[in-house]
Amino acid sequence: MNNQRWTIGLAVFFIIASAFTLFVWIPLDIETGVIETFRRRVNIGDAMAPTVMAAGILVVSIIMGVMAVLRPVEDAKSPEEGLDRQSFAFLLRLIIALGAGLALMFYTGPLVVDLINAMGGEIGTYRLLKDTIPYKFIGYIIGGFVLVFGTIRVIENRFSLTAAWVAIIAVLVLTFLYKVPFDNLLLPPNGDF
Amino acid sequence: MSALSKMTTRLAVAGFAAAAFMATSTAQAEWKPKGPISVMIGFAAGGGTDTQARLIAAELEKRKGWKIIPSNVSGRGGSVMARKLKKLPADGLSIGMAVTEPFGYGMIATKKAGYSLKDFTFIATTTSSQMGIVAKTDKGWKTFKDVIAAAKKGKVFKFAGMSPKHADINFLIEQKYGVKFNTVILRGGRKVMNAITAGDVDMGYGAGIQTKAVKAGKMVNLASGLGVRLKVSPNAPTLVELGIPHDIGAKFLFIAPAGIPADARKALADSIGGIINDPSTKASQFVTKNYGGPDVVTGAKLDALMQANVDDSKVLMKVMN
Amino acid sequence: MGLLDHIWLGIVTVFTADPVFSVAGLPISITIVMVIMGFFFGIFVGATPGIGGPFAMSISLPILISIFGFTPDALLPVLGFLVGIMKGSTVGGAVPAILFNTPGTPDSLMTTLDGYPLTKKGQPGKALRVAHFSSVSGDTFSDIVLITCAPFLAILVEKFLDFPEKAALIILSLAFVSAVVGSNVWKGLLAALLGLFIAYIGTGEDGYPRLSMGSDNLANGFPLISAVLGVLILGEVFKAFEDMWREMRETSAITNVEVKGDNKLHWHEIRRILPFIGISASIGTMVGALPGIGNTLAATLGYATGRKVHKDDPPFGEGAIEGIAATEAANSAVAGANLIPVLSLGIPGNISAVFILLATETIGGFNPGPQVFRLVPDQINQEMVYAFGLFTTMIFANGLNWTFGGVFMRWMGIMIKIPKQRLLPIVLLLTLTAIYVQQTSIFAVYVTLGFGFLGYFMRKLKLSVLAFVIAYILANNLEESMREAFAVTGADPWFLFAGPISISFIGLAIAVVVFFARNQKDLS
Repeated sequence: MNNQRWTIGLAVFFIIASAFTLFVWIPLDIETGVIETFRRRVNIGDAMAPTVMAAGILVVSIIMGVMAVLRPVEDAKSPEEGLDRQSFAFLLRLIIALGAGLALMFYTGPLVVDLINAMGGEIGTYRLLKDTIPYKFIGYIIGGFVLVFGTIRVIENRFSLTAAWVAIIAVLVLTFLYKVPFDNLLLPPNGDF
Repeated sequence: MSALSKMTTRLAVAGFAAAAFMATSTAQAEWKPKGPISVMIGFAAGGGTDTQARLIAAELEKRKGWKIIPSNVSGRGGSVMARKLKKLPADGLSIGMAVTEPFGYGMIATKKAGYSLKDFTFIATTTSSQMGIVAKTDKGWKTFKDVIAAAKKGKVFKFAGMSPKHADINFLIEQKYGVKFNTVILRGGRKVMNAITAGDVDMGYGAGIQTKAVKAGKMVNLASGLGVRLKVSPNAPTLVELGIPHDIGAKFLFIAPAGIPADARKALADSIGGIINDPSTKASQFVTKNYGGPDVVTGAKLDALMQANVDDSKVLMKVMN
Repeated sequence: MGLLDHIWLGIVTVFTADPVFSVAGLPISITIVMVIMGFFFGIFVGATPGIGGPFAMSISLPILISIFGFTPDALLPVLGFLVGIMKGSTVGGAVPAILFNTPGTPDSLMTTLDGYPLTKKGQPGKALRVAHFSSVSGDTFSDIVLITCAPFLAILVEKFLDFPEKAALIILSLAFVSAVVGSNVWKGLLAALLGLFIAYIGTGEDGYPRLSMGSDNLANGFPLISAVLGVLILGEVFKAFEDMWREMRETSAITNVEVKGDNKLHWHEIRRILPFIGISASIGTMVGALPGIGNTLAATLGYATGRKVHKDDPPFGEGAIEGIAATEAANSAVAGANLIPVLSLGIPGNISAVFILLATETIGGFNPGPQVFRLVPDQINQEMVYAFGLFTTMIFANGLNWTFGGVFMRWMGIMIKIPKQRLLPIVLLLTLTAIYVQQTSIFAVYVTLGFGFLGYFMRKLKLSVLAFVIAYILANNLEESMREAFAVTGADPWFLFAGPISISFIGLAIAVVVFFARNQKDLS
């Protein structure tokens, strides 16, 4: 099999992407031109730099693609490039672990506050409580735990109690590391409320 | 008539959307934030705006017992922060610190600014820039008139500004005196100072950053960009005196999303103003040392000031087109 | 007052002003305390992937200023702490690079090339000792150059670099990096161009952020720290995850590094690495004196030159101690020399220098510029006293580095005892937290993860990560200096070819690409 197929694929991808950028994205999404005469003053416009780079990518990826086609399988023992089926299987697992951790980090605090309010707690919105213990740490600690424990779980492919302890201790240490010396720093997700 | 309702009346006259909301507000007791107050600083950590905001924040915590959390939302001279702030709840718990520029010329000169004056409640200014046209002392110029005299002989000077507004002012000067500059817009006052120091440009605009060098005799303010002459350089003529009828000075100010409760606006403005005007605070000492000293404008006066700033920018834009 | 009086006053101010407590009758001044604290804090943050010196400096500066205030007395304690962080993080940055193949900062990327293979051979202790020795030697050399030639050198350099020359110099650096690093010139160029293009999204001069598709989140572009840390740290972490995951499936165990064999640094080895340290320290010092280029390029140049000179076994990239020495001496030598343009012109060359400059700006009493080194008859030039005070703190920090730095740095190396599959997920969380704390927006976290996956794909497809990152960092400098050069020359389209210096830079850039493209077979 041509071991350059990932290089060829890369070249094709960048040829299409840079052509799209040059002819559609840049004209539609930049307000000033390549050279801009803004109130009688000639300046380099905002479109100059992206246009030059996109054109450069187009040229380089054409050269790269042509060279890869002309010189296939030069040495069979050169290290394999690109991704295989296993890589995608791994990526899918990793994304699930990261996604679960981040979602919990972002939504746990507000959900807990809503729940308490729904049960008649009248404690106010999360926005008012983002600097109040325990609410300000709930999301970070639970989400951070799931993120660390989840990725260890994916890598080791089994549940492990010590891994859970490692994750709990790590997340607590990080919380202290940031919150104790720097009281004014905001841990996730509190800056978004 | 109480001070509060007086302010409300004037606001209504000024025709701000916020006024309608405030007129209905009847709060009597001093406003107290229900949670922590986030201060979004429109510039990077360590700079002049950042330092002022953090000093004021620390003093507010001490005096009022409020919890203040400063963070930096930098970019585009403060307009990135403005876009973000305008969408936050108007409860007085999210405020921002910036300069007046992105709410005047910066907003007018852009096709898609993403916000307008109506999107904000302006709380209080803290101090004003000492905007001047600056050159190195060893150029031998005493005032901007010497520059014009030299330029009339056909010399094309390299002239650095910080915003397109300065390019416009330079164009007006070129028109009036029949001279020519090569104007270059650099990002921020520090870069302008560097370019002047290194000799990459002959002169440039400084918003107060030059004051120390001027006091030390290394640089000279050739002209004042304010309506009045600069405190450090009383001999430098103003742009108005030079026949360019524009005040391009900027002020530092605190803002909030449009429609925050009137009592919150007043409480915030009063406490910030109190800190800046008290010479014993670090914030006050900082603005005295680095800028034009405390310059607190609040309430309807501030609204009028912001509107005047926009109107003047519109005039400048019209002259240019 | 002569030069010697000023030097003496500077030293005295550092050691005696404002003593906080005394040890055995000797008063210890606040400045000394701050240097010590800054130094150990610096090693710690340098050794922690995801934080790094500049980040630590940026969060410390406002805090320091609110503690010390704005009087000139505050100058030396604050600068002392920053100098401490700068020096400490430089040696500390080698720790994660050597132990985990994850550079804490972009400039220790090349340290991974030989440091990590040594760790895999069971000799992390030796690698750390080499890194420490080379780093401190390079740093000390650079400081000596700074102290002896600060005034003259910078004035000369600046005299010949105008706006067009600066633009040409950045183009040359980029051409060099993309051609030299990595296996294939075209892939190197592609990575650099991609870095430049992505850096141009959401930036620009117009009020509407270009290519942002109307999103306010992109109003100031992708945060620099998200892009750089994402590609550098998370990209590597994700790839390491996958490698461990595969290993686990095949053998249901992960091989962790075992410390075995010779971990000492011997005299004959020091003699072996000394020439490399000498060459790299000189390169680093020269690069540092040029404004706006910085550590990463110095490390690359030092490593590339070292590879040319090196003849013995093992070759570079397979655990040669010379490789570590060449990189660490070069990137550490930048720090001192970078203060040459700062002190004599007030122009910073890298991020650390920016914070030193910001501190002097904010506090006052010390305006970096040529007048700092001017002698006035019968008077004390207070600014010169501060300058020599600053030098004193640097020399003191170097002394700390020689004596305690190595021990403390290796002590950070206990992290190697923690199994990698448990530690790297924590590094991931730490990096994301560091980004969030700085940007206070969950969007920045998503962006970092996005760049992390980009870094993963780039590693998989053999696209140079370093070329991408350097291009990303220099992108806005490049565009700005082009705009400025264009405007200041009165819209001359040929501004890059207006002077002999810029013409030769551009010529060199083209020559580098052509040369390496033609010799491609030899490289791969």
